[in-house]
Formats: sequence, structure tokens, C-alpha cells
Amino acid sequence: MTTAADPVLAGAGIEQREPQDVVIGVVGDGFSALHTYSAAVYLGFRPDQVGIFGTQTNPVHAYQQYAWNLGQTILRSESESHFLPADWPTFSQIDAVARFDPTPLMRSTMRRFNPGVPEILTLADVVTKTLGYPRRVLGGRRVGWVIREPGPPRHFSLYDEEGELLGRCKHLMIAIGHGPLAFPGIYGTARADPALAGRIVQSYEPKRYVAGGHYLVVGSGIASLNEWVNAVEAGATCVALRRNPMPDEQDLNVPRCLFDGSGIDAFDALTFEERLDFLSEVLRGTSPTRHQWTKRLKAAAREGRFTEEIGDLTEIGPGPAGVRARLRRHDGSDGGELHLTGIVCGTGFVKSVFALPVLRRLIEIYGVPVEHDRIRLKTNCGVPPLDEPDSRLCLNGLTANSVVPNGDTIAGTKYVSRRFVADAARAERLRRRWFPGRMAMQLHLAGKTVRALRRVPKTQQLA
Amino acid sequence: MCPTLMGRIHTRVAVITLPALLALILTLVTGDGDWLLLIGLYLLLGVFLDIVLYSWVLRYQPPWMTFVLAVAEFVLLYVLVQTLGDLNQLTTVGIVVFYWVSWVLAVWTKVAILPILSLTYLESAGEFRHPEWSVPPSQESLPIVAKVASAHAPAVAGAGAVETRAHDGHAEAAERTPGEPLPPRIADELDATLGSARSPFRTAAARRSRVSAARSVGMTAWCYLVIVGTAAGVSVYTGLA
Repeated sequence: MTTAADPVLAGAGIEQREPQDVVIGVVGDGFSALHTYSAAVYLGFRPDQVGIFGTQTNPVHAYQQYAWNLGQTILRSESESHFLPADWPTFSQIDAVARFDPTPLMRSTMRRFNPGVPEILTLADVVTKTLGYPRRVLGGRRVGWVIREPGPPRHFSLYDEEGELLGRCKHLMIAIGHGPLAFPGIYGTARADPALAGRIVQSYEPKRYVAGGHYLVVGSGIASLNEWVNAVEAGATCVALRRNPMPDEQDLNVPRCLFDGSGIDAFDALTFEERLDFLSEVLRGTSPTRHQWTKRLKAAAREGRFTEEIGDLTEIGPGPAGVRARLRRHDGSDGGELHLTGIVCGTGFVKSVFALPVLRRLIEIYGVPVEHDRIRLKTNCGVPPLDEPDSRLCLNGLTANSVVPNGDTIAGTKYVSRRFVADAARAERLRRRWFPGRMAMQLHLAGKTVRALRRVPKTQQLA
Repeated sequence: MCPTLMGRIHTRVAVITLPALLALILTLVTGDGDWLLLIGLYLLLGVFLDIVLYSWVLRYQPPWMTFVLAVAEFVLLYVLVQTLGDLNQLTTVGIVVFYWVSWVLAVWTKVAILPILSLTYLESAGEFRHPEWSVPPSQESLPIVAKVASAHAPAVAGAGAVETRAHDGHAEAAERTPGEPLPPRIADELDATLGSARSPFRTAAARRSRVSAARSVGMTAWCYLVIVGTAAGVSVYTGLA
């Protein structure tokens, strides 16, 4: 058993307590945990009825790290994607009031507003602290095993990797985010070569571009776009390597109407197989339009510091500049040898559920059905055969996007969290918070955010 | 937002509440029922446009479009009022001011009050829905023909599942050794609980609903009642009945 003197736990600021029984448990300590916690409190659960089983008391910790590594300054999401329990006020409205500046409202009206990273993190911090989220992060260790207990009442026991009990809950959401960073094919092999140490990195890893260096960025999604701009702004030369010749120019992760109930209705009316086919079509690397970025890239292209290639690398090895690589273009022609300072992979994350230990063990122990490396979820994001109406087991995040196509976005995790909490509220016959109480909570959180934002420098919009 | 037809009607009826209250107050103060007639016409015109035009033409409605539609609806309402000729006691200035005050009240209701009244309003295409899933598991579409496992499908229980290993900070796929050792407490728990947990996945044979199961039937019924009642009231007031 870990003690209170454990330096890791002391650093994380998580109190050591005996394992607790809670009504709603969340495995994972990121965005989804905050959404679930705030939705539960908003609807009327007491904070001590909710337990977050993770290692971080800051729910944006992982995102913050990725955003910093990526050099991301604004979110891809729009004004409604925020961390308040309900959707009003939107982020542009809060921003406008905080800065006495109507520009965010006008931009939002034209769908040209994206919350700045420092601003949205400020909002998350206000919600987290005001609602007492850190006190509900329990255990301070990663959940390794989930066991279904027959009860009565039916519930789940949560254990760490060594089999120590962390807590128990009646309804459980597993929201453990993405799998590890992906280095597909030749990039993974090359990265393992000690001679190339530190020269092949992921866009979500920390990195530094050197002025005058030559970098190749693989991918065409928003992470890659960020890296193109980061490289040229550092004074380096960037080769943008697109493996997909026809990237969509779509500013959200999925077509806009799929964010709405009507789109999700239509999506969920498909069979599981049809949904997977659809996702494979729409979840290709997508590249949004950012006018500020376009200007900078065009300027770099005129200076000969930014070029695009379509194809893939066939060989990677050490070279005089650091990395020597051979390019094969999409039309099959030889693109020649490239001498590079480094390669940045904007290739995302491993999407297989088998890459997530707690899910892999559930699959093996309970025979959870899996197809194409995804759990075949029920249409309420429930995990068969363990999910029951009186004791729900639900996934959230990327692992749930076979039900909610934008499951890995702020809007998507919020969608799942709200319905999961509502299911729990029905099962527990919760006496819900009334309209005045909900309105007061929203206004209180929004007011605190307004005051906090006044101390945060304004982030430049890029669209 | 990509409002559905039902979402447009739910929203239209919900946001007319404060303007209708304003009209009622004006009617009581001035003794002139034309204010109520005006708001009734506004509602019926809006519902008509929602049904025959907007839901077909505007699949995705950007926020700026709301103001454009308001201007268009004002022009249409004004023409309608002049055509009916029964609202002559209202001055043009009165109609203009009343319309735009009502529009501001309606927009604020839509933007600020409805998302608090209904937690999922914005993400439900403008509909008032219960915070439920679109398709309950009991109504899930299931394949008619059983799928035959392909040679490429990962074996799940017991053998060959893929896991990732940390390798100098990056993940690589590796064949997993079957039979991961269980911590003793986990093994004990599984011995005690596994038999009862292996219940089969039940798929009830309930009929698949054509619309989202989360839809609020009560709100829809209320909307129809308000629209029919308004139409009847307008007809009686203008002598069209």
C-alpha cells in the first residue's frame, strides 16, 4: 500500500484515504473526468458521490503538455466547446465580457472564433477549483484492473496495477484518452536506431527547431500544420510530407452536422460495421484553413523554406546533416535523397484498444466483443456484457467514437458525459437541481472566469 | 447548429414565450388586442417558414444567419399585417419597435435560457430532449447475417492480442504473450465474481423507433397545442374562421 509519504502522491497533491465507495466513478483524469464531474454536480449529485480515479488533480494536465509540445496557441474547437457544465455562456461571450471587446462575438457569429489555449485552460482551472474537483481525485494511482461485482447492488471494484483496491463505484466511466504516440512503419524502426536518437520525434513530443535546419513533417492534420508553421517561424526549412493526396479541408474533426443530435441520430442508426466504414472515411487527416498560418507559409515558400511533397519515405538512416532519407512520391517516382536535421511525425496516436492495458484486461477477462481493434460498444457507449442500466460501464473519448463520431473532442466528451450522468441520475432516482440553482451555478462560474481572464494576455486568432 | 424541423418548431415555440408575455402586458395596458394578434402572426409565419423553407434550404445554419432571417421575417410580417388590414390601430413605428424588442427577447431566450433549461439543447439540433442516447441498446440495428471471423481479426481471449510496449518513449506493436499473470487479489476476486458476471449480452426485440428516443414527446405536444391554439385565435380575431 502506498503511504502518505509517497513522494509521487505528495507531488500530485492527492490526499491518501481509505478506498471509497462512490456512486459515479471515472477511470482517467482528463477532459472527460472534468465533464463528468461538473455534469454530475450540475445535475444534483453531491461531490462526494463522485470519484475520479487517476493520478492528476489537474484535468487539463495531459492536454496542456501536448499543446505546449505542439506549439498550439488556439483550439480547433469553437465557442461552445468549453468546460462549464451547461452551454451558455459560450466562450466567446465570456471572452468579450472579460476584455470589454466585442470582437470574439463577431468572429463567433462568422464561425471564425477559436478559444485560445491559455484562455480555455483558465476556464478549466476555474471550473476545476470552484467545483472542488481536486478533492475528488482518489487513490493517486493508475487503475489497472476493473472487476465487476455482482452485489447486490451491482458495482465495480477498481484496483491498481499491483492489485491494491483503490475504490468501488456503482456506475463507471472509463475515459483514459488516446493510446501511445504512433510511429507507423519505417518511422518506428528508424526511431529505435540509436544513431538517430532524438532526430525522429512526434509532434506531441517536446522539440526545438534550429534556424537553418532542414526538417520533414509527416502528416496533413492540424498537428502537422502547427509544425510547418513552427519550423518556418524558427527560421528552418520545412518539407511537408503528405501521405494522403486528398486531405479534407474541414475545420472540425468530423463534418459539422455530425456534432448535432440530428447527425448523431443518423450515425447511430447505422450498424456497427457501417459506422466503422463511415469513420474510416471521415477521420482522415484533415487540414483546416488558418489565414495567419497560410500567410506565413506562403512567405516561407517564396523564400524557398517551405515545400510540399506527396508520398512517403522508403529509407531512413543516419546522414551528414543528421538524417538521410529517400522519398518515393505518390505517383511512384523517386523523390531523391533528402538530407534532414530531423523528422517530425504528425501521425497521431495508436488507436487500438489493446494498447490500453485496463481495457485489454477487461476484454480478456470478460470476453468484451472487439472488431477492428475497437470495442463493439452498445449505442449508449456501454461495454457489453458488463454494462447494465442499474450499474453502467461506459467508455468516453476516442474509444467511444464508434457511437459518438466526435468522441475525442471537447464537444464529444461532453455529449457522452452528460448522458452517462443522466443515466446514473435515473438509476439512482436523483433529485435534480432546479433551474434557478443551475442558472446560479453557471453565472457564478462564468463570473469567476471573466475575472480570471482579465489577467490572461489575449491570444491572437488565426482563422 | 444544424437544426432539425422539430428542433426549429421546439425553438420557435419556446422563444415566443417572453414576446407573448410582452404582448399580453401591452394588450392589458392599452386595451388593444392587436399586440397579441401581431405576436400570433409572427409565430405562425415563423412556423410556416420553418416547415416549408428553412428546414429544406438551411441544413446548417451559421449564427450570422439568424439576423438575416430576422430582417426577412420582419418584411414578410409587415406585408402580412398590411394585407390583413386589421392592425390599423398599430402605428408603423409601434410595429417596428415591438418586432425588434420581441426579437431581442426571443434571441436571448434561445441563447441564454434554453441551454440552462435543457442541458442538451445546443447539441440536440435545437430540440428539447431528455439527456438520453439517440438509440437505446434495445433498439440497436443488428446485422442479419452472422459475421465470420476473418483471418486478420485479432483474437481476443487468450492468445495473440496486440499490446504496445514502451520503447524509449515510443510505442511499438508487439505480440502479447497469452496469460498475463494476475495479481493474487485480482485472481481471488475473479474466482469469486466471474461466474455471475458472465451473463449473455441481451438484445431485446423492441421495435426500432424512427426518431431519436431522447425526443421530448411532451414538448412536441405542447408545441402543436400552442400552434393550433394560436392559429385558431388569429382566425377568430381576424374574422377568418
